[in-house]
Amino acid sequence: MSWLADPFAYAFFLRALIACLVIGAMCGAISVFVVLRRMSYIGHGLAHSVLGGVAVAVALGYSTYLGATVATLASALLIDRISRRRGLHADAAIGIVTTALFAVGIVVVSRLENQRVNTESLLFGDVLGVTSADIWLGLGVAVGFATIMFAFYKPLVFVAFDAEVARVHGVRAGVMEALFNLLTAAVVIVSVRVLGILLVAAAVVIPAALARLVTRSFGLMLAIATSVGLVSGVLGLYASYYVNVPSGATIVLVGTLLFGLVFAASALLARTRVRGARERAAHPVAPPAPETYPYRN
Amino acid sequence: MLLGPAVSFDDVAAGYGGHTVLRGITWEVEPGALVGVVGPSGSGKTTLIRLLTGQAERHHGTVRVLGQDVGAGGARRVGYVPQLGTVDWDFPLTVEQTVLLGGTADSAPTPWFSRREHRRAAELLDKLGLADLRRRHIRDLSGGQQQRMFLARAMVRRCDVLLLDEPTSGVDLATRHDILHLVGELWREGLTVIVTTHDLNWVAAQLPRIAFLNGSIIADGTPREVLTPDNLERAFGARMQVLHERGRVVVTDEHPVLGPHATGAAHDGVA
Ligand SMILES: Nc1ncnc2c1ncn2[C@@H]1O[C@H](COP(=O)(O)OP(=O)(O)OP(=O)(O)O)[C@@H](O)[C@H]1O
Ligand SMILES: [Mg+2]
Repeated sequence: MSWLADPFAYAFFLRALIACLVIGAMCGAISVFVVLRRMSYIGHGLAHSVLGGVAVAVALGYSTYLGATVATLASALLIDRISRRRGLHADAAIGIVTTALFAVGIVVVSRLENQRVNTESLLFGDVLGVTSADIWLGLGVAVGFATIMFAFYKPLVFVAFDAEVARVHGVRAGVMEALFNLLTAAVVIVSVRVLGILLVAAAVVIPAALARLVTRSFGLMLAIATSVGLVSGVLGLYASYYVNVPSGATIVLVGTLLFGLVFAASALLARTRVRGARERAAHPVAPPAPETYPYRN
Repeated sequence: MLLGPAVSFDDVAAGYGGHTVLRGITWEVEPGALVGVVGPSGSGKTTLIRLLTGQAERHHGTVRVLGQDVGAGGARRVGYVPQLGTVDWDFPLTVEQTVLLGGTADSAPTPWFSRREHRRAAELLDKLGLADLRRRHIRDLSGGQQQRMFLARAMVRRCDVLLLDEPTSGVDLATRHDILHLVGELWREGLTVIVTTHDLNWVAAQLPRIAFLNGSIIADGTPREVLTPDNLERAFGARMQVLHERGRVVVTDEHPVLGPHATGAAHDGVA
């Protein structure tokens, strides 16, 4: 099993592993709400707006995290505003707001001299670049995330299921929606470093999609999605180390592979069940033989 | 003890996107009443209910629930069963979990519900005949069972006013009977109940009080007072016959179009 331990010879690997675990778990957990609220493109959108935020921050000499935070929070807010308009849904709002911020990013990056923004690592993720500061930030966000999930689990679920009735029943639905947006933005910001802007979207969709195939219980779905996030984070990191490709890609591919396996298995299971039912209908179990006279006369 | 009406509308106009659906609504419901809001499809029944839950766009006037202005916020003790069809049936919840969620606002900030809350939900599910189905996924219920589940969710948080939007549409005879029976029981326990329906004979005629709605309140009183050919024509836009049968009011089509008693009037005017 030395292949498991070998990578730890490098100091960065432990940091990378912690980052992948924290990010995988959070992406998995938030994916359940993302998918059930039918906002699968929110991760895609918020991640894209990060480029604009980071580029502007670098150009003005501010911290990249500050830029990313402002950009994602602003786009989450705008998406919320626009999608409340009659006739426009979240998908249209995401398409407008975040692509615009991505475009801002491209404009600013190409005007900056001597490549001050490493676009490649931003777009595809760079687990080698994870610093201890990143780790502490990720852990801090994880603690906040877990606390909010614990304390507001019920209202978050109620609002995701039926916001109108939740509101009538005294739940502050607006606050819960804002909280969900805030959590998603935070998860996206801390994930971009490892997963990359272009790949975050999959990480906040695949775990819940997989979990949905195997269970119809919310709690179980949350547990399974979180585990899938953790497992794809760790396996993806190892794959990235050994195959020497960006970690974001391998983490997403591991998740996709898991999804594909479960999807195939569940399709097979469904087909076997239908076939079983057809066979039973075609060859009904012979009714108990009618009483026959033991002897003829 | 509550003084004054449980629900009151004062010259209210409401609608969607600036388009007016309801106007000139001045209406009161006293505490402990059971009232049916009756009108054809599109007459604004759901809009009227949504005014009480603070979801509708109000253009004019004031709406009060238990003396409190709707829209001013604050915890109103209102239970709400929306019209079916707006629900995401694929959502991963069981019947029991759905009912429990109704009590979220009064519950502790933990991911689980207390034993007392579970007991209360179990009591309600039992009362509504859903005890055996409590672990089922919400999609695996019939329309009537879904309706009863949402009734339980509305009642799990103790409320003073219960709003039911078309609880009897799309359910079979027996379920409609059960639901009405249950509503009557809740009413006798002291709850104020407002229920909407477009079913004249099986629902409206059995309620103690009904109000005809079609853009505004056309008539309000006992079924005997309200169910008259003139009112029916104003509310439903069709002439109907009202029969008084052994103390009951029965509304029928004045000119049957099909069947052995058809007059043919609808086709060619030849009687
Ligand atoms: N969200 C909406 N946006 C725009 N118009 C709406 C909306 N909801 C309802 N309306 C319009 O308002 C009017 C009243 O609708 P409402 O839903 O209150 O009727 P209803 O009496 O409940 O009908 P039904 O018996 O079919 O449920 C209808 O003409 C409808 O077209
Ligand atoms: Mg309606």
